[in-house]
Amino acid sequence: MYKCSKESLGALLSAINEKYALYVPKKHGEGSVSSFEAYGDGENMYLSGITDRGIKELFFPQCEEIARFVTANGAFGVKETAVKSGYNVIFGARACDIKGLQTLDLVFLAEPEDRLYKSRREAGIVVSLSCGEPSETCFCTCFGVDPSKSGDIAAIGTDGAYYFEILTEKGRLLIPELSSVCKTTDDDIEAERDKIRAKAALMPAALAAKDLPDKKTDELFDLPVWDKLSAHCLGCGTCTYLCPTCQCYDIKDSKTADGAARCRFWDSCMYSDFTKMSAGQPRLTQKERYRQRFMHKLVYFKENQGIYGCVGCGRCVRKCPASAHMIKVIKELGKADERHT
Amino acid sequence: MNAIHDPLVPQVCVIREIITETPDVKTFHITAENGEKPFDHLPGQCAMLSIPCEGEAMFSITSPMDSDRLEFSVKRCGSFTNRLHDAAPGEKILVRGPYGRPFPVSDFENEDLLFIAGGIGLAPVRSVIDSCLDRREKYGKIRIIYGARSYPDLVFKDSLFGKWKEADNTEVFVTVDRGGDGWSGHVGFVPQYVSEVCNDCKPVVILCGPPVMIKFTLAELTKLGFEKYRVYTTLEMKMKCGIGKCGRCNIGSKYVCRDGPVFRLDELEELPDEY
Repeated sequence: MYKCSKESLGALLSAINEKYALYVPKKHGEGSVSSFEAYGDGENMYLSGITDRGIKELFFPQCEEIARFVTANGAFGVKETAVKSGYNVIFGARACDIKGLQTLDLVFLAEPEDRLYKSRREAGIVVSLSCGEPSETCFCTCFGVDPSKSGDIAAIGTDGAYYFEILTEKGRLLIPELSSVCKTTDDDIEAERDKIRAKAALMPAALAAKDLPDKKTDELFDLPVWDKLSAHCLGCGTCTYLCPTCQCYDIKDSKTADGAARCRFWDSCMYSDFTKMSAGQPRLTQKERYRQRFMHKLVYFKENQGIYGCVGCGRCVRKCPASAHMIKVIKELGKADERHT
Repeated sequence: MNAIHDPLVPQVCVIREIITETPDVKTFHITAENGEKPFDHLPGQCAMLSIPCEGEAMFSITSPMDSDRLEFSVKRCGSFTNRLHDAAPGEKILVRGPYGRPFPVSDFENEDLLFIAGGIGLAPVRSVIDSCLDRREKYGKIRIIYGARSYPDLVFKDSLFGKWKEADNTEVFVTVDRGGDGWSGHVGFVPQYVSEVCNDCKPVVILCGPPVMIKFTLAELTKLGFEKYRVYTTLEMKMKCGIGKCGRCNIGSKYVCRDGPVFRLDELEELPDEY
């Protein structure tokens, strides 16, 4: 265990930033969108709450090139885009976002592995920051997230200090930097963690794992309540873009000087184009698209992977312009369970 | 240019030959640049075809598993298929695959087989038929029922009225929705024709065609007492990755690109009604 004073955090991050590309949560003034950015001069760090945009984009960027085609001057060749090597550090990640990564792993690291995601995952050293002040829209405990401890290194802030506990082999890579600024300590921080867990247990969203749907797929799929739940959905896709577990992507080409670049982009099941073929459209209205998104998170993903595809970060609750969010869906499907049993 | 390891990155291939099947269907014969088959495949599997900046889409492989080329029969119906139809032999094309769960042809051994197809739905079925005919002794009686809108819309006429018709212990039944255009054979829809042809036999069924035809044919087969676990069909959804990761071709918890496109009727009935 390592310990530094709150004032020394900047020195520690600067030391890490000397050796690694370092990303930290930042917010440029009230009303701006908070997200993870390069540490830079360390200004505008935002450590007091969950960021609007999570850490997903550091591992699965909104747009990335996968290949180049050279088609000029009679040539016709394909070049696979190289992956970057070397470690980088993400400081200040919340446990819900880290659970989001573990959820993405189940998709992208399953055979055949996604080489671009895998390389970023292997390169990323994730330092979590304990989440002591859950927002009124948080419900991570519903999905078994421990907001006090996560990542390769778990950082916890107390009244005057930060403690750092190394949890993985990869976390050990930062021992030189931690040693240069922190003292080692035998302080017991479980009591501090328990305080955080106790606060988390009082999350106002008041959902419990027992509220989650556990009915047959067909019954949930055919529930009439989908009409009501989806009635105000605008199909804007905000929920999917901010979701730590949404991984749907599109593949498209763009012209380059001597051919084309093939890139993949985040896509959204909330968009009508998502499933539209020249042969037809299997999800005709927003109701079908809305149902797909929530059935995937709460039913299909669990069938395939054994866990839910939601981590309770609450971003969709905070940002949905129509308030057609996950908590409402869980409550309605939970009610459906009671009606059936 | 360099080795390809990423399943999303295609290899450069060449269109060797283009057969005009109908006014809106062409069959493309494709090999790698060195003339070899780009990869091995099993009947029912698919591959992604693309042309830089023109699009990429999934097509079923219509050639049999032992063929030395990949053949794709493509109906002109959208922007990318329009571009493909304008291609000429010798043109380069990008290919990746094979994708999906094939028809379990080894499970079909010693069975009588009934192939039912409508329109361009004969494309994936042709791969199974020709693969079985290449090992004719392993299979029982083969019946093929095929329907299209009209005589000019029938694909693979050479096989329908030549190779398949002449094969051992094989019967071919062709019907069109609308007579004329020089057609003197059966006129009517596929589902009704099935009950005429297969009243008292219960072969393994391989069914592929437009959704409405599949729906009515499945109802007919159920009425005739076919067992669900002996009826196979294929599903179609929009696809981007082909490997169960881009998230768009799922029906319930199944991804058509990875868990399909071939499904047994009993498996199909487990899925939510979204296909």
